[in-house]
Amino acid sequence: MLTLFSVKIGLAVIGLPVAFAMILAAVVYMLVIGDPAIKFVPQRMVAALDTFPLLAVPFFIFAGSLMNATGVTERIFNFARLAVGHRTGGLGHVNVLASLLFSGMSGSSIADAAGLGQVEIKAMRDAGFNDDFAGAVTAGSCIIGPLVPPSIPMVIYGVVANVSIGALFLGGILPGLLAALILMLVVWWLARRRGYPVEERSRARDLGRAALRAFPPLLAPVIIIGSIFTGRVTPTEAAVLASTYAILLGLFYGTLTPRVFARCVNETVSVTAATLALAAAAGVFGYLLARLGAPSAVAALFGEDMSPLLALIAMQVVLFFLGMLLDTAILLFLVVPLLMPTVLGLGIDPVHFGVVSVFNMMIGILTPPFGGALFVVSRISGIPYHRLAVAIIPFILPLMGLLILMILIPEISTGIPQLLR
Amino acid sequence: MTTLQKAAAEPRRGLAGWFDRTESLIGGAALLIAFAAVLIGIISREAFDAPVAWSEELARLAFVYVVFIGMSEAFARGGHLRVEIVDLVLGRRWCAVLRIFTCVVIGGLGLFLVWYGWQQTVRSQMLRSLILGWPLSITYAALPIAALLMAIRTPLLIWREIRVLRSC
Repeated sequence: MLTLFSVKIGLAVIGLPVAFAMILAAVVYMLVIGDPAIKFVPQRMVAALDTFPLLAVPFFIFAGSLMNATGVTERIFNFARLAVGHRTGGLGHVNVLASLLFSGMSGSSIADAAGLGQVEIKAMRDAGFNDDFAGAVTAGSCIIGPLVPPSIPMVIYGVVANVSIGALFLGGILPGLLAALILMLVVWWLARRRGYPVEERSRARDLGRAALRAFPPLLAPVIIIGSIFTGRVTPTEAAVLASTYAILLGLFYGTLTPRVFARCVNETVSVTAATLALAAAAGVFGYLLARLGAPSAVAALFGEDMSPLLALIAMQVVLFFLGMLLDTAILLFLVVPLLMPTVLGLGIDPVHFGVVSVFNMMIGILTPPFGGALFVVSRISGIPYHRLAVAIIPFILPLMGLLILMILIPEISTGIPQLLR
Repeated sequence: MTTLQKAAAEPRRGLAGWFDRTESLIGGAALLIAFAAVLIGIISREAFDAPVAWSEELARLAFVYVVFIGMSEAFARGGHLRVEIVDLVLGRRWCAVLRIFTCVVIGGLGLFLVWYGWQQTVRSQMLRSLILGWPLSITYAALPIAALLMAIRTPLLIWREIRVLRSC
């Protein structure tokens, strides 16, 4: 097992894409030991993808891409600007609220950071906000996307761990709202200390007009969440409905041209492949790990003489440090399957574990050395990565506090799913 | 941004451009087929109370093509998730050398997947899908096709890196 991991890590470190490193490590290992199962490598790769719930991933990516490309994000931002821009913290609050509203349509932090983030940072710069602060708020607020339903990481977790995606979506609502509240409190605190500008209070008529303009996009979360929880559609079908709705909005606004549509399709294929290539790779690598007894080894590590709470804390600590180094998708496809037997064996609620883990991984995309959200924000804004890594600290610490609360109080994650069961 | 990503940001001409367009076309068509299949499934069930069983199977088949064809495209564009520490530590020249090495390795893996993937495709020729009754080899063929595209692309990518090396 150590050889397998060493080969995989070695290949990844020299720059081989992680998915290929996983497949290659498994293939090399099988060749060396003369495993006849090598001929089933393609079958395992295909079988890992041949699952209907995983189809929700490309369609939520598609919906987010369409919303960004057709100007929906700008409508949401303008509405948020008029609604909370006059509060202490001004556009910082607008940034968080817009991400919260957008999170109901797109389940991807990267779609939030790369799409909405560009509008947010430009507006904050124009208003005289400090660059680092604008970048940090944008990166911090993009983690709300995968918490509030729909959520791509939760879809993947649901598939990998065989847990109800609907329950996970519900479980993410309260943590998402609490994260938004915490981010707004930090914005307010920093704005007071640093004297950041505020917007003029908007007139009721302007706010009403902006609300009307943003109303159709704001219906998207209602369609997505409502259709899933009334039992009418599956999460995959809800993702298709969200994409359809985004297409209709684009046509209605006259912003969806054939060229824009083609760009969104291509973007969706690329992002889907980059994310789900890991699923195919995990089909092979995970099979080999299971055969080598990795889940039992992990269970022995966390399960023996440990209370469920202690084991949960230990697993979250491991995920936190891995999250600083690895992408969320890698953790979900590679690490979570190793932990699940222990989670279930100790009687930890898999919805609780899933929501906490996804939240933990979202903090991971904000933390150096490999904070994915920081890289994206740095790329779209030109703010140096190391400055973002420092500016984000005041946001990370309270979010870590919320993570600890979520671990200690399962009801934060499981309360709503239990209430609506 | 890596050299590959920078190069991929611009539309390419020649053989590489033809590959880009073909893969985009196949991947995009597969995505839209999956999209239409699921949408038809919802409409027929909810609006006409006449559920169609084939929609899920067709969507899954198209989805496998989306990922594998997209995988080849993402490989050429440098879009896959990778550890980028090497780019930060090594200079441009050594990065290019290492990329040539990784391209050779991925090319080899591509050939392996073409060979074993094709064998799997042939093996599953007689097996039929549950609802559509189509040969399962159609699904399994996605992998060797994508792997073949990847293997063919490898020399083009190596050539690109050699040009980077020359310019250093």
